[in-house]
Amino acid sequence: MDIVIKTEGATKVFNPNMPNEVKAITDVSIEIKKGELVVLKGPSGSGKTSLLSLIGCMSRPTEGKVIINGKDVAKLPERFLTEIRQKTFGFVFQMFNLIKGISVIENVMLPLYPTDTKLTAIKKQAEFVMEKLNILKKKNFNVQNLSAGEQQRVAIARALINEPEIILADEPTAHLDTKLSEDLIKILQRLNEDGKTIIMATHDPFVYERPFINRIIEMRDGMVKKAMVR
Amino acid sequence: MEKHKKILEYALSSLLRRKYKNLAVIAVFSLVVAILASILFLTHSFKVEALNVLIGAPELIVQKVSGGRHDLIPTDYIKRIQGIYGIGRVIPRYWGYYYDAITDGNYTLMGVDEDVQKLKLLDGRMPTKNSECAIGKGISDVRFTGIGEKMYLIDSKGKTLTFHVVGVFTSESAILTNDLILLNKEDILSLFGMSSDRATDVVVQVYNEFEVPFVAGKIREMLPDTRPIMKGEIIRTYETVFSWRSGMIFTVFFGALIAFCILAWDKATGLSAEERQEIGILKAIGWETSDILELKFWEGIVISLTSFLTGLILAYVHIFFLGASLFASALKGWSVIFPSFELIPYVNLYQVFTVLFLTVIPYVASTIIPSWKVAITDPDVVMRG
Repeated sequence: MDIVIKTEGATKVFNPNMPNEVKAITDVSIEIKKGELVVLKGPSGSGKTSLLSLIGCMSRPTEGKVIINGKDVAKLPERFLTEIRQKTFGFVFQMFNLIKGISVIENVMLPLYPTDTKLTAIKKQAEFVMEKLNILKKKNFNVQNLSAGEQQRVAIARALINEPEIILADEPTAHLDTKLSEDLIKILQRLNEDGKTIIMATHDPFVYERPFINRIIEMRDGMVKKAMVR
Repeated sequence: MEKHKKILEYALSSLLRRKYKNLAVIAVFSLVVAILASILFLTHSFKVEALNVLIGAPELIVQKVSGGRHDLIPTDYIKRIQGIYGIGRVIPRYWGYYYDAITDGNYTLMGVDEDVQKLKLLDGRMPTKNSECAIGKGISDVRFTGIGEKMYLIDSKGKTLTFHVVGVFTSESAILTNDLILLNKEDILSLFGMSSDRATDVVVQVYNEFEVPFVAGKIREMLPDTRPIMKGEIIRTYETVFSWRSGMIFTVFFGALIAFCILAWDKATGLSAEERQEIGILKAIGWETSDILELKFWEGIVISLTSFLTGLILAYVHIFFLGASLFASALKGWSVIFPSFELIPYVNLYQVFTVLFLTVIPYVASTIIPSWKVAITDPDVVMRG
């Protein structure tokens, strides 16, 4: 299988050489193959979110390399990182990170706004993914009026609208009850079966103990403690 | 194009999301533009009206000065002035200011001459014989009199004189006629107690306008107790007076302007946590820094242009429909306070662009710069707060 993501000695330091310097991850080297469903497991502050941010080109490593589809992105200009974020990744955030005050469908359409795709085509694509996630009925609702589970599905729909090959999910079940977590896991499993590579940061055993998880990378204190293939 | 259209659409939707905050900014912004534009409109309108008056004014006027004070000029000076080469006619003028105790206003009384004949009458005719007068619209209004009615004035001996109003005038310039009462020469002389060999001043016609300064110098040399006044000097005085007055009002409102600048700066620089978060999210889902800047540009433009146009319309209505009630008296000056008049709309595009430049551009810049600072930060850092 092709390696889609590779980090070599990736280190991320926030506020370097300042009194409030924080070493979020240290010398992390991992490889993720196309179509894998990988879990980054570890307690709060173990560096899961920071590693996910590095992989998703939302931040740059202080040291080391982050290679996406064979290209080292660590030193690429911002413009190229944006392009990679737009075309390669779909993000599902812990706090959903939806834009309040606008409708469900507008939130889902947002990633394709700064493209030359026609609004009608974007709308059609948004409705298609929303249908798949069973939230089409709520398309004109304001996102604030949705339940946590529905908001999470809107966030997934937004992550899928640009048809990304890799989905990054940060603690996707953190704000969901058992039933909604079960629904979400099923959605992610289905996406993985459709060929999407999924990297999920979680410390929820309800998620990482699932048999369909290909690999678990255990993190502690910003370093990879253990990697297990299932 | 499609991309820019969608970003604009999103910018409008963003503004509507924070409608109360944005409406408050628009209200304050519009008020500041309205004040600025009102001062500029009013000053410019006065200047243009004053210049219009002076277009028909003589190139050279000669007054007599006694001990530094304007005095009546002997009419035998006319012959001496006519002796200077290059001079056409020399015409005496009979006029003066009249304080009217009834209305507590200052009027300008003038004898009929050729220049005055050029004025347009709103209604009626010019006075042709003694005890007739034509009056300005302002005087007609404050004295509740009109054509066919009477006008009472007190002469220099305290005697009440009665005049028949035969005309009410208007002119291209309200400034010129609003406080004007036109009488026959003999009536003026009698009312002011002037002797017939004296005039208020004399108008000198010079064939070649480029020779006016030279002729003025000759008159000063020949008649040292006179003061020749050139039209150019009067124009400059008007401009200085109105610029000074508008400057004074600007100073009065400077506090308000500063307060607005602080508000705009605070609003623009102090991006709320929600706004920072939004920029982080947009970056994370694939928006480029330039897309964020375009979004903020549209937001700034919509707010500032809406405020600018609203302020401009408010200023126009305030000045040209409501008679500049807020600060007209400061700009008009004492001599025309009492007889109110309607300003004729004159708008200087250069000044409109100046207001646009001073308000819209700083606002848009102060909206974009802090957003740019956030947009160039890693989305991960922005979203973590």
